[in-house]
Amino acid sequence: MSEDVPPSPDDLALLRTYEPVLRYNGGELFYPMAVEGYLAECDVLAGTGDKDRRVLVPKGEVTPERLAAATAGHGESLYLRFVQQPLGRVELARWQLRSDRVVFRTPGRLSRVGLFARLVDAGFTASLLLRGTVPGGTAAAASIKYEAIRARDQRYAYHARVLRQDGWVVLHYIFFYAMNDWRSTFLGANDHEADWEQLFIFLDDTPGGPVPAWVACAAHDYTGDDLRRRWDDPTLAKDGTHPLINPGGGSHAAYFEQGDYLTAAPVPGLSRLRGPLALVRNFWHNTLRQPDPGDLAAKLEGSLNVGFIDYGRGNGLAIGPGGDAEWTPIPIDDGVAWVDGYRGLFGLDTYDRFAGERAPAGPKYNRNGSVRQTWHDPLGWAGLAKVAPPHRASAVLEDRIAALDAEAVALDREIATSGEELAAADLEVRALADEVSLAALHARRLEALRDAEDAQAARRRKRVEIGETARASREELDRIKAGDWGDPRAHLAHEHHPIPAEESRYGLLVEVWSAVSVSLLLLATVALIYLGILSVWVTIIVVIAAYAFVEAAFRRRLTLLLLRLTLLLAAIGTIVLAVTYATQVLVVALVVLAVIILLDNVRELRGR
Amino acid sequence: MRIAGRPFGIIILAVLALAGGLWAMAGVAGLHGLREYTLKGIDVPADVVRLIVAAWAVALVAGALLLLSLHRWGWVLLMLATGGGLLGSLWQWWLGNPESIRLAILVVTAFYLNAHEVRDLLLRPAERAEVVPLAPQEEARP
Repeated sequence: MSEDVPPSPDDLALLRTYEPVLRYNGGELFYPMAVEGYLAECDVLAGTGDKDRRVLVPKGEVTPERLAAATAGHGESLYLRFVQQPLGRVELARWQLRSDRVVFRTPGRLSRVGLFARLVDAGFTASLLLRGTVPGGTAAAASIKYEAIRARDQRYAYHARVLRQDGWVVLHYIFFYAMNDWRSTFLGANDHEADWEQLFIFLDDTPGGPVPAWVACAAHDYTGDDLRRRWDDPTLAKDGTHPLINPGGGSHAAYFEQGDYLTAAPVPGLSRLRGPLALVRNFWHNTLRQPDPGDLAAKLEGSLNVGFIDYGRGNGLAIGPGGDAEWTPIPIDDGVAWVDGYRGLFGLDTYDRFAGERAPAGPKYNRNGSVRQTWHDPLGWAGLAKVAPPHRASAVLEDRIAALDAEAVALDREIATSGEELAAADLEVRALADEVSLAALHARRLEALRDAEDAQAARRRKRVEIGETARASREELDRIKAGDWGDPRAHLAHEHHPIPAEESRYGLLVEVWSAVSVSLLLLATVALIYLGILSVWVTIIVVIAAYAFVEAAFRRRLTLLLLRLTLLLAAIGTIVLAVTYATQVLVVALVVLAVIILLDNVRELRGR
Repeated sequence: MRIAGRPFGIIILAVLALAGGLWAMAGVAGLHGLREYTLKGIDVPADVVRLIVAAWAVALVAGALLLLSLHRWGWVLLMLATGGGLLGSLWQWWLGNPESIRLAILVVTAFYLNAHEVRDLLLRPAERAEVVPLAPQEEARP
């Protein structure tokens, strides 16, 4: 059961007690704000594309009530627009050169990834020319508008609500930003107007009062269990009762640990390669007795990481208790007009078919108008629907053990009865076997006997499983009663850690090479093919080989590359020999097999 | 140099490498004719061929001697020389002049040198895992 209630003074106190401290990057342009101030600067539009869009509510007239009442036609998109006029080139240059600008400095992201990822990145950049994207100068214009709003309203605000579900008290913190400027300010994947980020604190609703148990944040590429950290997890930094969270630069995605995070691009069909790659690994390591190459599928996946980095360094403004500025909480629930009544987008709709540059809808709704899981089922979203609140865990487990014990007793009884029936049936079948005229009946009874025998074996197997489960559950119960909740990270299938510092430090030459290498690669390929110096395939091989050598030399891995190349050539040589001498190889293999079988049989013969 | 106690495979490999290296050196010195190498119709100058073969021969001889001393650079040099030999053999095969026995010996050599028993004998503990990370920054990593 879910029940939304307007925060009582107690709930507000809970929200304040556990409100997080958000530590931003230096150079961040947008911070959490109240929605009302944003709405005052927006107009409301509807349309099916750039050409037919029309203003439904002009700027200055947008109120939560008018927003809730706004509707679009069939097939049309309904959306807010924060920036009516992006900055022109000259204005943008002037804005970028302003004296008070905090410049975000970082090692080149492309130096941290390989050739394939750089090619994917080049493809991504090219795709921006074809996709619907936020126009250039929008982030700058949004920043100017945001600063104007802040001049009128200096609050750093979060919206929040408190839910009570299944023995949990859920503190739902929602942070609204005027813009996600990850691409234009932090070299990330996308820009879009309006940005919602969410953080949940799950309190164990004990009779003695709520006790913090879990923290969950929305993060790129992660779902369910991987979204949350246990309150006693050492990687969850806290200042008293306040979790310390590091929003990504421009993207505002939340990270528990400070650092730079490489985002992974899911590669379609990679899961199908896991089996064959495991076979290759087994053959290489166990049959050829070569060093273990490790999980090849994971390595392949790692090498395909696209070079977008989310910077969660936490080296800029800190908002929250003990930080540079305090929060202003704004309670929301289903009774708030802009929350419940408006299903459109909260910023510009670019009609980007990949959706990355489209603004999000509100805190309650997805872009398609359906209710977000974070709104109606935060426990399920964080993978906690299956987790008993700690204060109930002992009782839940005791009930389960009692049920298992009862099931075991009933099964024991059933096994005893079935055992007697089985013995009687066996004697009956034996009796029928002696009568030739009853052969058909004997066959039927024999078959039934075998089925009954299988069923009895299944019962005994189940009985053992129940016994083992009950024993393990009792041990777990003892641990829980002793306050031992086990490894705080045991629920995590994928741990997301920042890039190690030593992988971020490369010299200037490597940085420059990383930035220009893909362009050089393409130009060299085109030139060699166009000038007819080499054939297409030889050109591609030569250019890639030259690229690999330069790359390895810059990273001081030339010897490693040459050794790997030797193994690759040896593998190719093996294939060449196997294909060239296929008949001879087959003949030799068959002769060896025949000799082995002969020796084995002769040994058996001599042993008689 | 003490030979006794070395694995049989190491001794055989060192002898083969030494013989191959000395034979190649003899070719460079003009004691026997070096094969004509072409790059898809483009003749490689004889001096360049001689230089490449000389470097390969030195790597083989030095690698063989260092391998017998169970020195890690013997392993590295022979692996690199084997790689060079494989490249040459595969190139010849591509041009339609297969050298099957030489290719087979080089393939077996590469896999033998890379077998974990041999790596355990010749490389430092940090270098034995997977493909040997010789770069200093990788060695420092746990």
